[in-house]
Amino acid sequence: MDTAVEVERGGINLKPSGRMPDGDVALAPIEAGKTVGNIEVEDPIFRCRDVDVYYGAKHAIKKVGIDVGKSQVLAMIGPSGCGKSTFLRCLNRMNDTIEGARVEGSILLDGKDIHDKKQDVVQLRARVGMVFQKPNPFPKSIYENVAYGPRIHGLAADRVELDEIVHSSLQRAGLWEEVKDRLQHPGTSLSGGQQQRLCIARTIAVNPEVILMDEPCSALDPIATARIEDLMEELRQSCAIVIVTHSMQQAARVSQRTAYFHLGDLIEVGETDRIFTNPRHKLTEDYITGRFG
Amino acid sequence: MSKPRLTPKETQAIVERSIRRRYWAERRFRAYGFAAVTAGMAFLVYLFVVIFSNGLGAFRQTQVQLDIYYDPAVIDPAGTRKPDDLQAGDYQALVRSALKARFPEVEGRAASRELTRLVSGSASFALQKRITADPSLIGTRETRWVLAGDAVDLFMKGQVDRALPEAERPLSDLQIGWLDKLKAENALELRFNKTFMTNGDSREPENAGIWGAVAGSFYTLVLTLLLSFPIGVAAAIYLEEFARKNRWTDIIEVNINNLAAVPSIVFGLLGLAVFIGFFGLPRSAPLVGAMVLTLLTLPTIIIASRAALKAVPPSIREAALGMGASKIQMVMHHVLPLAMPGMLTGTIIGMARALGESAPLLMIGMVAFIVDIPKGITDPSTVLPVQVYLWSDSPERGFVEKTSGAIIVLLAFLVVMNTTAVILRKRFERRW
Amino acid sequence: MALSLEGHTARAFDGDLSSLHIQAVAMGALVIEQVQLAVNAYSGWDRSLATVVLDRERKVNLYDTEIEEAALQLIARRQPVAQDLRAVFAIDKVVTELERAADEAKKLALTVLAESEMNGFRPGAATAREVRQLGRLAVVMTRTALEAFDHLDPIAASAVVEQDLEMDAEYAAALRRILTRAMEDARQLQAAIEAAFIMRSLERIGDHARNIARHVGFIGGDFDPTATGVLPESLASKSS
Repeated sequence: MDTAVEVERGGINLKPSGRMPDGDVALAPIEAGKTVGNIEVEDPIFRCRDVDVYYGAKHAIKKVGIDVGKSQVLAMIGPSGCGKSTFLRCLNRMNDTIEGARVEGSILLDGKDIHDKKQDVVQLRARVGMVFQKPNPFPKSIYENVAYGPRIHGLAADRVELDEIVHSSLQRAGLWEEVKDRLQHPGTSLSGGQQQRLCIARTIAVNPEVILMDEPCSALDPIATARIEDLMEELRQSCAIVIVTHSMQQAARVSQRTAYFHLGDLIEVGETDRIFTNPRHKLTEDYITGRFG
Repeated sequence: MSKPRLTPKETQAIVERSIRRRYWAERRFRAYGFAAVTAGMAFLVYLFVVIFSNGLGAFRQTQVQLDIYYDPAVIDPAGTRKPDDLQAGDYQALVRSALKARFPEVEGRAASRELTRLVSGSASFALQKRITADPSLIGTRETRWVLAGDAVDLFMKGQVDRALPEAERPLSDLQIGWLDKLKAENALELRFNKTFMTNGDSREPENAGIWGAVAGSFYTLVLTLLLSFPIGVAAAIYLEEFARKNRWTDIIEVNINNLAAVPSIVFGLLGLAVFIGFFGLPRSAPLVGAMVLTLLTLPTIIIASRAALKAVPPSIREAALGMGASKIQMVMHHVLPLAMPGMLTGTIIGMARALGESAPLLMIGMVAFIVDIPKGITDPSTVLPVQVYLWSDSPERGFVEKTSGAIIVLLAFLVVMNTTAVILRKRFERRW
Repeated sequence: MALSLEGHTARAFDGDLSSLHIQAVAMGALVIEQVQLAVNAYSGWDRSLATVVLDRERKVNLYDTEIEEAALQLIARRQPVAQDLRAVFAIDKVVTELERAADEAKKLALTVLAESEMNGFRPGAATAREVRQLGRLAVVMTRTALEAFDHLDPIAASAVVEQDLEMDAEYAAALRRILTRAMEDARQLQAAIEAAFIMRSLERIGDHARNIARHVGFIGGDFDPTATGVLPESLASKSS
């Protein structure tokens, strides 16, 4: 597609066409098995290439490659069973806990392969935190919930430092004002939205570089959801966030990049604004407009 | 031809017709449940009534009030007041003279012997202990309550039938006459039976006490708990969390389930052959008893603990692992505290069973006649259920109520043990 | 090659979007009629036709408000994205263009009524002929654009571009001729100015038609099909 010549006709200037607003010069033709859009990001925190995941004989993730940028929210959307949660769990090796799960391909965190023998999985999970779909605070006090991570990783030298970490984590999670008078109460005595923020607080207490969120708001009401989305916007200043979500509106609201998964394949990746106004792949279009199934 | 779809109103009519039937079924079911509970409770109440009516008598014993003159000529003829000499004194003579003083009209050796038999043989030992402890009493007079003989005890508890001919009674007419007189003078009473709670076993029913068996049971059970709880919990954690799921673990699981059903006497045979025969541990000791009972209770604890571990929701495990906890930390910090109430329940059940076991302990020798109170885990001892068995086997009539009394003590022991465990479990549940 | 507004899993969504589209097309048909009538009224100096145009104007405005309202509700209810979002956006914009085109037609009608009231300037035969010619072009352009909008066919829409070139040429020529006539006879100046305004309105109607065509392209995903007239590859592969 060439660019058009600027034409003056009767005083009317027509814009050159053929340029898509996000600057791509040529539109990629759609090939089978190839992801549409730019999977690369400059200076990524995660670089995944040719990732395959097998559950026994089932091929759950098929040769997926994608980058995750620092200070950015990447949303992964797709119909049920498309593999987005599976892929998310690869990033902090939670699939190791599942019998019969096999992960192949390269996943580099800051340049280093996370499956390398020298990489300690416990340390990995301190750098890559995870928030789950159903809030699951430990059956301990609120204080203990947040203090657990720093304690086992030895991040605080004494009680004073630990108090400080707990205080700042709860504050960053937007929970401090609500719980400061009842830190010794059990974590399970909070409402659903508060529990999820508590889970976020305990995740950020160890200063991770990436936070993985698996449908964090699906069990929450709209106000709690809005609070957490607001929190995500603040958090992404200091760490990358990868969020799996069923709600396309949420993906549109919180993310800068969106990835569409379909039956284990990564179909399209791109800037969120463009994906939701003008996606390039028909499958993506069908899914987000509700023509799927 | 398929059925046409019903309107909501038609469906409602059908539902209404079936509702009465359903409610009746429900009411029947509740009645069954209530009947079952009532039947169970009735049996329980009957059991308690029988035991208590038989056994309460064991907690009281007959005592005779005597004027005792601590005759120095009898106790300490040499006048040295030396402990060895004091011990060697003829305290039985003091008892005899006190009785004679009470009934001066008694003549003849036969009658005298009968008179002496009114008081228990242990009375003289009681006096001996008293003088040895406090020699200043020598030469004084004192009115004391002394233990009566076992036949007198039976008499006071109404178990001697006066209507029977003399030869068939444990007491002669003469003796009954004396006892009536003593009773009239308020010198013959039923008092609280301290000896039952403080003495060890004895040939004489009036001296027989339960404390030896209680001490034996206590040592055995404490040791059993100390052995079986850690081993059982550790085994359950390993099997549930760390062992790989393959044929070997399946075989182990099947075997543990089977072990839980093995008759307990088999463990006794094992203990006899291995612990006593091969390792040469002392017979009849709480140590060996505890080891045998540990083998008995381990399967129960392991099964209950595994179930409790399985019941911990995977979301807690994932949360812990996601935080960067290692597997051991995840299990110790999060899974174990949540599974603890279930584990304690299994332990309570196991311990309750162990408390009441007699067959395996009989095999390892805890059936011997042990008089001394055991002081350590290697001293020969017996346990409460075995004691009950021994007394129930005894010919003397005085042991009948003592058997029931021992059962009452056993039940009390059980209640205390279970209450402690339930309180512990509630504490664990409340904290989380 | 036409795009489709249907196929949603929630069929009510199909209905909402389709009815919005159909209403806009109906409004377009009405506007085409208005333009035709207005041109006839001016060139034939027919007061009754002009009155009809003015009366019908109310209906056009009603369409405008109703469709805007419907579009707003659809956005609130369905949160459309991608093509659906572009479609609603474009329909709204097309409706605005149609409303403006109708306004231009109204100007023609008003001129007829006002001038004949005051016994003012009636166009001469030459002017009338030229107005008819430009009017015909305007109607053709609007019809083409509307057909493309009806079938949601960006390729058909690009045909309007060619027609726009023709319109521009005709307009320029007509303007020249009017000026020439005005220069010859100074008394005709005022009439010439009036006629020039009328022709400008018709040219504007052509512009609106061209905008409508551009919005059809917007729905298809290419943001400016009118420049080269060649269908972009994206549409070729997506529409199939």
